[in-house]
Amino acid sequence: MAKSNTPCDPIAYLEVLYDQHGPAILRYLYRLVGPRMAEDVLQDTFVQAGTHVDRLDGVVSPKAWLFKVAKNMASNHLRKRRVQFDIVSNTLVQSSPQEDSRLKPMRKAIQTLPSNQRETVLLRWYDELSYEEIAHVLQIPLGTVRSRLHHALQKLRQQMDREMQGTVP
Amino acid sequence: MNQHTIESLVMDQALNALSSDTEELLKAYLSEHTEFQDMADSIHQAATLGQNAVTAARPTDIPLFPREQLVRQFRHTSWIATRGWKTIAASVLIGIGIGFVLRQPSHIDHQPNQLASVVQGPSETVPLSNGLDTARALWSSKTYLDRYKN
Repeated sequence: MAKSNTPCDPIAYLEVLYDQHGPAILRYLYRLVGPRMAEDVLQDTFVQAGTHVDRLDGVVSPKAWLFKVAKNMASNHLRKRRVQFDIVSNTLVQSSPQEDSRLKPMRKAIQTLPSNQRETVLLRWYDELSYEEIAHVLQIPLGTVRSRLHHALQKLRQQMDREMQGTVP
Repeated sequence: MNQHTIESLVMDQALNALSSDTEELLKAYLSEHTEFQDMADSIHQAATLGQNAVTAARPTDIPLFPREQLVRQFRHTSWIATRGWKTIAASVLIGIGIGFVLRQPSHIDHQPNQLASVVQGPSETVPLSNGLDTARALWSSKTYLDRYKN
């Protein structure tokens, strides 16, 4: 898709990508920089993508490439403002009285995961990226993505099993 | 297949990362080996709960596509790609041209070689300061001195 679309009209191509992946990238940015800055960073991400749109020719997944650009833009924004943002707080705080009672302990369990596992899990479940796309965004081997997800799932499973047995208060 | 392999495959299945062929094979295997069923159920349950736990909060509205900024960006980039390079090339050519003109023989003062007479052995001793009389050196101290006196 990227190969056929990029050369003609880069702005139109970016607009198509914006419509397709904008909401997902915005969700990702919500997590990285918070709701206040997310919209600005999203726009900056696409402006930045415009300067390197020729690189889209070779990428396997434009979505993963845009996520990577967004990640870089987010860290630049945070560095400029010298802000540390809790990656989980904005993703997991929502809960309603009607929801499954096991979700709350599950959120807690996700929060206790090591940050690299938590980030990988969130990219898989929240941002719905494939293993290959996660590897591209985080610049890690595919095997590392798989092992991080497996370790995380293993921990969550154990935590939930303990929760169900009532050993965890 | 050992327990560890099955567990890994079930995890990939729970994370929706198995190809359909592998998933079919795994399902067939698990239906024959019921001893793994509890483990598989537990993994699937954790994955489902985990996914539900993180998909609760999602922003829905996205800002407008930054068309204006991109148009400006592309204009700037194309200026660098075309006129920018032309400007740089023209500047270099002008610089070379000026350098060439300045190095023409007519722009260089040819002074009589004072050293030649010294090498050939002058009949009489020539004071070193005499060189400054004939040499029209721009920064000659003697010239300055003469101008000052006059």
